[in-house]
Amino acid sequence: MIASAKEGFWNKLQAIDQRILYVLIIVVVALPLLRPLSLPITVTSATRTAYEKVDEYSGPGSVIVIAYEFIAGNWPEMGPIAVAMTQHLFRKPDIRIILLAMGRDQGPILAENTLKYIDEMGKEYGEDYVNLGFFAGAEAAMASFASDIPGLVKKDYYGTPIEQLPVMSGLNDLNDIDMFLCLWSGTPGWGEYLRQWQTPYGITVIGGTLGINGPGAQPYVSSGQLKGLVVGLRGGGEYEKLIGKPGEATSGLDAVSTTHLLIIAFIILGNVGYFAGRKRTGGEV
Amino acid sequence: MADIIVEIGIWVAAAYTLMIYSYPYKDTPLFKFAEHTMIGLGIAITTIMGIRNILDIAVGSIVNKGEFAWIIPILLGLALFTRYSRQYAWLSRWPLALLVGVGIGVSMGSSVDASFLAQIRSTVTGVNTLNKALLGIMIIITITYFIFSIGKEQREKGAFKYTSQLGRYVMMLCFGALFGNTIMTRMALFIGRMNFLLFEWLKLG
Repeated sequence: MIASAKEGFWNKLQAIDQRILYVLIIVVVALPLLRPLSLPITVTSATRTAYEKVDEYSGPGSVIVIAYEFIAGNWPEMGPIAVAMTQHLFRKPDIRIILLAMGRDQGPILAENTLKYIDEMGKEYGEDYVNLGFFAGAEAAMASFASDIPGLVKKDYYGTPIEQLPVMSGLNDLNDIDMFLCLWSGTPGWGEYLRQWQTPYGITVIGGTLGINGPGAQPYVSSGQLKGLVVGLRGGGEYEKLIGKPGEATSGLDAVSTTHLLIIAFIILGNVGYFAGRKRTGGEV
Repeated sequence: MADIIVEIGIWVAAAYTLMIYSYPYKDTPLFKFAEHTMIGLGIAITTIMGIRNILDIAVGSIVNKGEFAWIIPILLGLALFTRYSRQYAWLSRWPLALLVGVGIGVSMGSSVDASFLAQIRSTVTGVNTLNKALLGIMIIITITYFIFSIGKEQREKGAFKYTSQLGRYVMMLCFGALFGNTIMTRMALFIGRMNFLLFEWLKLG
């Protein structure tokens, strides 16, 4: 009787109702959001490198392009990265910033949303920065922009002719751009910019992407095609720490830690149940 | 007035979030309703953006600047819809062929260098750290797993037996990292929604 009760216990460990797990996840996410644990944030070398490269390539007189190639559904993870990196650039004196999207038609709206969260540091729209909007055609549009900016760009997102925007003056092709921040969540995204911008023109690219894309993009960092890469909510939180402006990612990182601890605990429980059950049945589960 | 509209928007978003999150309990009609609404909205936005692009770029150029060459892409675009007619479906092959041809032509130009040669160069040069050396070794043993041209017997004996086995472990490490990051992304999205529900909707913070 006792033996069968024990076997039942090990079996139960492997078959915990997933709804219990969901409820526990809600609890461990909600609690640190309501009562922050203020766990220390350690900046990884990857995020620090990206930060330092942004610093290095955005000296006075630089022209920077930021592509917002993600969708609204990715905002919880991409938003903090976009806000932190854009804020970092807006603090740089005497640079020109061009916001655009060529893969995701929601990009210009998300660029506008990003601007709501940042301190523009006295930068003037049209003089120091511009939102060019969305260009249909994805890879073909990227190729077209790279070879002939005035040929493709006729007006900004709000319909102002490009001739009336000083920020765009003297920009003829991609050789006039000093750095490119590629914030992407899928396809079209980095892969297309890599083919049309980075490889033929050798432009300096710093990336920001979802955690899910991180491992796939890492080889491009090793090869130097991406000079730096900020990955996921964790990367966003680290970047917020580096610029000294805590935001959505910082407040979410406690919840990330607690959910990971819960998941690790469940993985251990499931494995303990599996191996204990296997031992009792002589190797058969 | 603007505040009321924002508040209504927050309540609608909260309702849809809860409808979607009813799915872990079971496949509820509320989930289905929210799912279908989302698909409908997605299609609506894409359609509107498409129409706007046609009006702004093509029709606008014809009307305002007299650039009649834009008629060609408009006609090609319309030809795509002939696939709904058996008699004229062949017409849709022309714009499709053009799209595929341009797509491949534009992307193939630098893709060999961008995704293939640059990666090989990076792997075989600059092996100056333990990490880079390990990376090179792992790439080679993973490739041995995919060598099928030597026959089953050769693969199951000698050095190949061990390298392909190690290659499998390397791939499992990689898949593990990918899966771990997938979980992190899903959690980040969930945390974003909880942030919204707790602070924007329930105003607890």
